[in-house]
Order: sequence, then C-alpha cells, then structure tokens
Amino acid sequence: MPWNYIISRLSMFLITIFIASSIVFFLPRISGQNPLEEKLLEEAARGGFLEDTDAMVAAFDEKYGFNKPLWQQYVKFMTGIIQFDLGRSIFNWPKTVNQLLAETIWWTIALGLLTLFFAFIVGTLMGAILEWKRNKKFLMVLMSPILTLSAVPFYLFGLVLLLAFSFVWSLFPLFGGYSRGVAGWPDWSNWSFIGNVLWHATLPALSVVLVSLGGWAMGMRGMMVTTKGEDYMLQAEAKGLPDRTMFFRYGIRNAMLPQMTGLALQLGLIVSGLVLVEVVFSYPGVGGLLVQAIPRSDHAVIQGIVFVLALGTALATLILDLIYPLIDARIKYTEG
Amino acid sequence: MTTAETAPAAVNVDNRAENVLEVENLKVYYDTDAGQVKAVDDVSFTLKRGERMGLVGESGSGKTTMAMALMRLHKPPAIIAGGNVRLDGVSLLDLNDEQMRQTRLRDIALVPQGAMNSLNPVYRVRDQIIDGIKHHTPRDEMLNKGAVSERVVELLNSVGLDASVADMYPHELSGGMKQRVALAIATSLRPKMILADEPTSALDVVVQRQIMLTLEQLQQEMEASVLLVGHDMGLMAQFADVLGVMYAGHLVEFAPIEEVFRNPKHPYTKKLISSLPDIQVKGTFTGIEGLPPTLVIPPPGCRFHPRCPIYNNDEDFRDEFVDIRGSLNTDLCTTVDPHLNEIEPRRWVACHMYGEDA
Repeated sequence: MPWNYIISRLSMFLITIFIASSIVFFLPRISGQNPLEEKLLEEAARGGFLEDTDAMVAAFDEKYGFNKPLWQQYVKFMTGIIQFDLGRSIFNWPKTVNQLLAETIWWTIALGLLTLFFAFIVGTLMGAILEWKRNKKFLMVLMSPILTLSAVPFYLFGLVLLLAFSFVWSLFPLFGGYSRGVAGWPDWSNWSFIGNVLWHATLPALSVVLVSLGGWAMGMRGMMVTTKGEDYMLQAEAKGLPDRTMFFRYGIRNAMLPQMTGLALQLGLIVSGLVLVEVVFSYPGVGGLLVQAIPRSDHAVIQGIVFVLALGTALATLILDLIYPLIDARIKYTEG
Repeated sequence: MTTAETAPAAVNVDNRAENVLEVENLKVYYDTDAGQVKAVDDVSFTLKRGERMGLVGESGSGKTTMAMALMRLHKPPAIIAGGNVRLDGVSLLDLNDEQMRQTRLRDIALVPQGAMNSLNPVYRVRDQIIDGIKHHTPRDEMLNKGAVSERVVELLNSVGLDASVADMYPHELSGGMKQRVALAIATSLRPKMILADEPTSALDVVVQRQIMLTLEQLQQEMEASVLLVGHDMGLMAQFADVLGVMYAGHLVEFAPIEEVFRNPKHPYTKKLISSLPDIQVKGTFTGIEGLPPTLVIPPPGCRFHPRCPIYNNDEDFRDEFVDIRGSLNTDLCTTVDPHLNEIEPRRWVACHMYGEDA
C-alpha cells in the first residue's frame, strides 16, 4: 500500500484547507463594515425605533467577540473550523451557519452533480464520436448551436429559458425548488413531491447542461485527434481489433485522461458555478444564501460558504490524486 | 505486359501453395490539393512461402505507403487506385471491412515502426496480447483463463522475454522489450505473413541484431513470409532472401539478395550499393546526387533519368554496364516509363538498357 503517497496527499489537503480558511477569515474583514451596524441600520430603515444604537452594537460586539483583537478572533474561528462549527448568522438569528448550510447545500450539490456528470458524459461522448466518425453529419449540425451556447454565461441563458418556457409558454415554474403552500411538503417520501422538485429543476439544469456541453465536447474532440494519430492506434488496427474496441479501449480510454482532470476541477466549482443560476431561478441553494449574505457583511455565513467551496475543491483534488494512478499507470503512487 | 502474374505460374503449377503474397500493378495515390501523388505506381511482385523479402528505397519512395496498403491500413487521403493484392490466393482488396479485420493479425501481421509508442499506455502487456487473440477467436472456442495465461507466457518466452513482463505496463519496458512484445503480438496467431516496417529504426545496433535474430527464428519456426521494409542495406543483406528496390513509387529492381549485391542491374541499385562503405577500402563515400523527384509531376519517361549516371554519362560510371549501355536509346529514358521486366530468371528490372518496351 502506498502509504507515503496517501499521507503526502492528505497533508497537502490539510495545508490547503488551513490556508483557505485563513483567507476566508480575513477577506470579509477587509471591507471594514461591521455586520451589526448593518443589521441595525436595516432594522432602522424598516422604521423600527432604535434607541442608543452604539450601546447595542457594543453589546453585540461583546457577544460575538468583534471587540477582541483580530488574532483572538482568528484563533476562535480556526478552533471552530476544526470542530466544523462555523458560528452563527447575524441576519438569520438565531440559526447557525451549519443549519443554514444544511438547509441549502443539498439542493446545490444535487443540481450541480447531476448537471455536471450529465454534461460530462454526453459532451465527452459527443466529442469522441465527432472525431471518430467524421461522417456523422447530424452531430456536426448539432455542434454549432452547442458551441455558440458555450460562449454564453449560464445565468444569461437561464434568463432566456425562463422567459421563454416559464413566462411566455408557462411550461415550467418561474421560481423556487418546489411548489410552496402544499400541506405536508417538503416530503421526500412522496413521489408527487419528487416529481415537483424535478419539474422545478428542469430549467436550471438545462441552462447549465446546454451551456457546458460544448466545452466538454471540444476538449474531448481535441484529445481524440491526438490519440487517433498515436502509433498504438495504428497497431490496434493492424491487430485486427473491432472498431468498437478501438473506440472505447484505445480511443476514449486514452483521450479521457485530461478530461478527468477537468472533471475533478469542475467538481470543486459546482457550488460557485451555480450561484448566479440559483439567483436567476430563485433556487433554494447555497448561491441564494451567499448573495444575501455578502451585501450585509454577514461574516459567519460568507466564511462558512466560502470555506465549504474551498473544502469541495480540495476534496475533489484529493480524490483525483488518489484515483489517477488507477486510471493511468504512468502516474505512480510516489512522493511528489 | 509481363509482370508477376504470369511468371511464377510458369515455374510452379500450384500457384496457391507456392506464393503467399502476390501484388499486381498496385497503385496507391494520395489525393492532395496539389494534385494526385502517385506514391505507389504499378508495383508488382510475388513472395513465396517462408521467403524473406527486403524492400528498400529512399524516404518518400513509397515503401511504407505500399506496406500499409497491403494490410489496407492506408489512411485518407491515400487511396488504392488500382491493382490487386492476393494473400494465399485471397484477394484482399475484395474483402469487406469485417473480413479484412479478421485477416489482419490472423493471416498478415504488422511489426510496427518505432515500437516506442505502439503499445497502449494504459493496459498491461498481458491484456494487449490477449485482445488480439480474443477478437480473432469465436467466443465458444476461446481458451479459458488459465490456458490464455499459459499462451501469453509461451509467446513472451518465444521472443526472449520473462513471464513477469505480462503484468507490466508499456512505460516500464525498454525500447527493445517493447519491440519484442510487438513481435509476440504479431506472431500470436501464427500468421502466414509478417510485415515489418522498419522494426528496428529506433534501436541501437546490438538490440537491432537481437530483434532481427528473434524475428528470423520465429519466422522459420512458423514458416511465415516476411516483408521487411527499411533503408538499411546491411540489415537487408543479413536478413532477406530477396530484395525489392523502390524509387519514386516504382519497383525498379527485384531479385535474390546475393544477386543484387553481386551484380546490380539497375543504375539506381548500383549507386545505392556503391554508396555503402567498404571496410577494406579507405576513401570518401559517394552518395547519389540530387533528390528524389516530386510525385505530383514525376519526371517524364524514366523517373530516375535526371539522376541516372548512365543517362547523364557520369564519368565515375564509365566502366559500368559497358557491354549493354551502348544499346541504350536515351530518347526512351525521357519519354517512356520503363516496365519491370524479367530479364533473367528471377531478375526483374525496370530500365531501358535491358530492352525496350512500351
């Protein structure tokens, strides 16, 4: 067992997380805004009468520890990170960041994972076939709109879909993760609820899949061109292997290796990639939460979400590092 | 036109048994924007069972193009524009794709040029030997796992490799070892014909010799014919029984190897051999002046005439071909493309010095 390799990768992972958490801690504080003042100002703007704001801020500062030296706050934050305690939100008082994440993150992960894998598999196959069978005209015809779309941002295309299919034709819902106001929902054991969720997820998923398809297809096609020209391809043909075997075991198997790296990196970017899509579709994911938290300087929430993003990327990289030697023997489980 | 198709039949009635490979007027052209490149033009020869043929020529003379076309492995824009290729009596150009696939490896196998990258980097050697066997054996006749493993070990041993190589990946092997694996794959189904396209081009001379000895040993044991494509005349002299010389898409000389070296008939072959260094003679090497012609618009008449020492009355060649050069009508050299004729038994030459044809 290559323990050295696993330990070195794990330590890289931990170091990454440590550095990322530190950045996450300092970044929102650069703005110099005090979240409590923001909160109180918001309350005031709503017309509430606030007496002696300064005293209230001071009291809350005391409670949250904002009046302590930065290094003490930092130590407290890092201790929390180790215990996976991300603190309490100020605007969603008294919910903890963990609770907020638990409510939202599964929506994002489910949508992100499904769309990512779907686009990856379909796009990769399309690219591979496009190069392998140059005479497949219908694929060529299909590629031009897909390539055009890949230059459009997710959210913009999402807006177009929303306008067309929800607003004009009313085929899909305008917002949300499921229909509100139905008694007993959300209920994950109820099939009509699950159907409703899928119905709501269709447009957001479509906007992501259609836009990212082109990238995967072009990447794979390029790699397939290179792979087709390799000596082992000619040798495979000289060995009298059937076309199918050559396509999958010689072509795709080799051309896919760089795609796998791309997949792992995209895995880490699932949450951040979906932020704006979630805003457009008012999807109950992490993105909406983050967009609320940033203008209000809700430090704990921003820190928590960004920390989870960093964790996702680092985790994806770690997993890739661990499985890559299994799919390509040239990469060894050695130090490095 | 007297070509390979009639000559061997006269010698041997049982054509099918005697000749493993019969190539007749094979034409392989490249369709390019600049025009049709006649990379292989009207090439004919036959190869007997168990015979080892060498095929030499300069880069761009069409030897590799022809070798690939024999297995129908030529890629667009190359097309087989005409002719016939018969392997043990079966016309390869008439087979459908699936039949051709079955024929590859089983009847005609390739030992590739530069074995460095000819193995799939992501699979073990074992799997790469087995997949060739597997796809040429009906499912119900496929050996069981144990027997397949034994066969793999047997093949590896036959090319001088240890059984442990089976579980290695290509990047763990040296260049020589990879070429040996390629030999093991090529011989895994005991083909009638092995096509070796510069099999030792990237190897040092010691390994080169080992590989050629292994190839020779396997070939003799299986009674397979070999077509060895290359440009190393020394290697050819050691290995081949017969030698074909290609120039600008034509086969210009085809004869038993000793005859070619002792008494080359074509001026190009003559120059090729006189350009070889001699261990007993100290002196400067002579090459062949000029470059091979473009095949888009080949020179009119004989394609070699712009570089031909006889046509150009080269001083150093005054003493060569003295008895017949007087009969050469040099007008023919610039107007008529000479055909490959059998001027003596088993001596084929395409040159106007040996008689006129049209």
